[in-house]
Amino acid sequence: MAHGEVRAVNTARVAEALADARSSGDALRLVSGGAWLDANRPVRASSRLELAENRGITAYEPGDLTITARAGTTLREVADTVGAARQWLPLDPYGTDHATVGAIVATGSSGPLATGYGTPRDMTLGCEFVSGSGLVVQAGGRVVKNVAGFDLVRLVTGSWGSLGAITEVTLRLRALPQRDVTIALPLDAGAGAAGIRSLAPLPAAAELLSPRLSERLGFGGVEVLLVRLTGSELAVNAQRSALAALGGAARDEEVDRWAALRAADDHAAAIVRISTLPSELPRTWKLACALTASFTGAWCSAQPVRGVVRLVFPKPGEGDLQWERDLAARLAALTSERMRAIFERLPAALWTTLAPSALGDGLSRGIKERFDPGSILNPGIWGEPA
Amino acid sequence: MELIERLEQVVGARRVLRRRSELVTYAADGLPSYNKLPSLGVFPGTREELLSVVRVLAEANVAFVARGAGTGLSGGALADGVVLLGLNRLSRIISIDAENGLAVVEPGVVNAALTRAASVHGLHYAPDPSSQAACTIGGNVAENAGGPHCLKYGVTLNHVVACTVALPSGEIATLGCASGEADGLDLLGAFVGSEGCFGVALDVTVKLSRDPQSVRTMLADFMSMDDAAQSVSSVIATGIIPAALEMMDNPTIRAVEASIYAAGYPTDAAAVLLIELDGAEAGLAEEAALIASICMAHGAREVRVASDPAERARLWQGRKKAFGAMGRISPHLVVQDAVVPRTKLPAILERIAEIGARHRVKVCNVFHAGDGNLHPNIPYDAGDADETARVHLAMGEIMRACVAAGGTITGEHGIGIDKLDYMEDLFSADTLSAMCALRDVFDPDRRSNPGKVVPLHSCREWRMAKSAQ
Ligand SMILES: Cc1cc2nc3c(=O)[nH]c(=O)nc-3n(C[C@H](O)[C@H](O)[C@H](O)COP(=O)(O)OP(=O)(O)OC[C@H]3O[C@@H](n4cnc5c(N)ncnc54)[C@H](O)[C@@H]3O)c2cc1C
Ligand SMILES: Cc1cc2nc3c(=O)[nH]c(=O)nc-3n(C[C@H](O)[C@H](O)[C@H](O)COP(=O)(O)OP(=O)(O)OC[C@H]3O[C@@H](n4cnc5c(N)ncnc54)[C@H](O)[C@@H]3O)c2cc1C
Repeated sequence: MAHGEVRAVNTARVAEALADARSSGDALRLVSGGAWLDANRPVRASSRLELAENRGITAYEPGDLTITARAGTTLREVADTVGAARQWLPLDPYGTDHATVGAIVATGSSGPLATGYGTPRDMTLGCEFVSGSGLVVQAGGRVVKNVAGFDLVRLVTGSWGSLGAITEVTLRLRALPQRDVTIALPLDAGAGAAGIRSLAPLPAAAELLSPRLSERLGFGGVEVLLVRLTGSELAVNAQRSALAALGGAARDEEVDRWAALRAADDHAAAIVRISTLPSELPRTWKLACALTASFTGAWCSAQPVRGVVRLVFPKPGEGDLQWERDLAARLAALTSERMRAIFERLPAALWTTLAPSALGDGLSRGIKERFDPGSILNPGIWGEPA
Repeated sequence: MELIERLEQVVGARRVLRRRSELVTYAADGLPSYNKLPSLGVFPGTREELLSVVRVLAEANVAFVARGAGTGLSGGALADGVVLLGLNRLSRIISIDAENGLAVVEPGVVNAALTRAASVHGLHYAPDPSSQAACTIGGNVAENAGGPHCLKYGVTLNHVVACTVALPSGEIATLGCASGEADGLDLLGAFVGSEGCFGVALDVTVKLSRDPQSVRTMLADFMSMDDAAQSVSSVIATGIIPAALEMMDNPTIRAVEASIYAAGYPTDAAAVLLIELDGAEAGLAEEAALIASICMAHGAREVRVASDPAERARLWQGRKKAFGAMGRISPHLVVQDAVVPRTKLPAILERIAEIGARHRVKVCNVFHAGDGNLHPNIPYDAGDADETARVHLAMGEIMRACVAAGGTITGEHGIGIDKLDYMEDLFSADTLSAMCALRDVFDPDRRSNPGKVVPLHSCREWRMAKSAQ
């Protein structure tokens, strides 16, 4: 659908592009790495605004444990820069390290490490963005604690480019842990979920893998709890013994198991995240396993500590018309009092039946109207009417 | 019917205060330098009453200010000729779900009361402002309050998962959700820290954290501020995140030791660091030894480890009551709150000392050093016009020095009315306009805590709209 393509290498250019869009009325599809444009609701836009070339580290003082980078900087570049000072950004959203920091903050993306380190909401100290209305906003700051004024950082984090184009972000860093160990435990959801939540301190990551995902990643097709422990030698050893007490023969694994897990769903046609209370996780997990087992090639994984289950459905075979209908029917039954389904990716036709709009309330609509009155930024991403 | 009568119908005549003698109790918050009388005080006792009051005020188009315990340190809860909405009677803990580590509370629940109630489950509410014995969860949410243990565990924002809010219009909005993840804009994140300007929290769902297996509390004392500040940077650089890392300078130490909260701090030290480590027992002793050796390498005279819970409590009591102890030195106290990047701590402390000396005022530093969150406080006598002027000059210079160092003007106390003047030093006109735009969505008529946080003249659009009317 995109006709034009504009490249913006700095904030001034982004502001110009937005001003042009306001006056012409041509809506913009914001694009950084472009790896995840099929996520969230379909966008109606005639032009693309390419933001990836606005990149580079703006400020990095290791002793402050913070970094400021232009939005198009990739996770890899951040890791290389801060790794030299034995620090890291403990953020591993699905996909690859080519993901850009601007898009990660814009989408609030996270991955397995969210269990121990939180999500972009917890790590973003500040950001610069150009609002659809044309304001160049410096939200938050570069310090780790800050309550000056209303929190525009949280407003923009996870807003999917619907309020503004992010041009720079400041993130909180950590020192690299002395030890970083990955362990696979053949545990079922019931034992795994309860056991892992009682571990003190909590692990850096803990993911349950369904049999199909376990097979795919080389764990032999049985349900597995994949755990990552970070910290001092002594602390990690203590955690390891606590884990061993949960049962099952623990096996040490390579750290790049995580990269494989993050990359597993490259060509998925539908991805659904279910959010539930941790105590409900075993039940929800059973349901998710049964649901994915009935679709060819589908699988699920879960973060028992956070109460999140993720269901992944690959594209069906050529000419499989029933697939979409079946999927719609099964997914529609997912939202209940006990759990909430958040759709990350869906066949375009299913959005209107499963999750028509996330701007149902007056506050969200009001914010969209104020920050992007001309609806020039990623219109449709929240399912708002044209 | 008159407004007063309608409010009395909702809450009962006893719960509507209108006499000056009754209202003076609410004329100030934790900052005694401001005094403003509300037009009325209304004290609902239930959620339904609170909601009805907000609706009556909306119909009458009357402005109001929510007030929790009134311990705020930026003048945020002051009601200047408008209705004060007292929430201290809404103090019910609605539920505790120990299995999922969640609690639902009314806004007037006192912070420490929640932790007390959770303690039977081996849980606690992590954000622990030094005022925790008095301040309320509603006030904590409004200020996005921090505390010593926020270095490791995060501030209020990181511990609130949902909130039901009465918007100033009287409508109800549910922000966030108990299980955490949601589709759509982060309205909860926008509400936390909005200083009462976005409506009134009717109930709050917070996370409860498991009590740590073990704790080590240490006191390191130094003969120079700079040595203490350098130690802070070196500790942070190890990658060990202490549960708390607090610093007190000599004037603060003396004030504490002269008070009933005397904690046994060495009164001849230039500065002490109060360092706490917690977590699994395994490895904790080694981490404590490493941190002690770092302090010694930076010239500490001694690093003392609290030998039992009583000593630990005493060390903390001195820190938590430090503002109170300073308040006893002189009739008045300016409490300040600013943040600098952590590597700038040694330089900014030197600068603050220089500014204090030049203006002949006594700066007492007691602060969350691990976060770079400073509290340079100045005891003084407001009756002395010359001294008062010097105090204000010094404070202005200190704040601008923090901003120039790449910092910010408040890390936890909020803007309220006290810091309005600094907002334009920190934020661009566009950024302030964006804040105004956000506020307009929640409170288009600016009836909820009017005149706070963003200077009115910064709100271009709003000003234009009003003048057009
Ligand atoms: C196969 C795959 C699966 C994924 N699964 C998940 C998942 O399950 N959960 C999860 O949290 N993340 C997931 N991600 C997301 C991911 O890790 C990153 O968020 C994403 O890769 C960002 O990289 P990008 O630069 O390519 O973004 P893009 O694809 O360019 O953009 C992603 C979105 O962000 C918007 N955007 C981009 N840049 C900006 C900007 N500067 N300002 C405002 N808006 C902007 C775009 O309009 C678009 O809607 C997945 C990614 C991939 C590739
Ligand atoms: C000795 C002392 C030590 C302190 N130490 C710390 C510290 O370590 N860390 C820290 O962060 N702060 C600290 N403070 C400041 C203060 O205690 C906090 O800001 C606290 O969160 C205020 O809570 P409160 O209930 O007293 O709120 P109040 O002072 O009554 O109100 C503060 C603001 O919150 C708004 N508000 C109150 N309730 C609601 C509600 N239900 N809905 C919407 N808005 C509401 C008010 O309108 C006002 O703007 C300290 C204060 C003192 C006096």
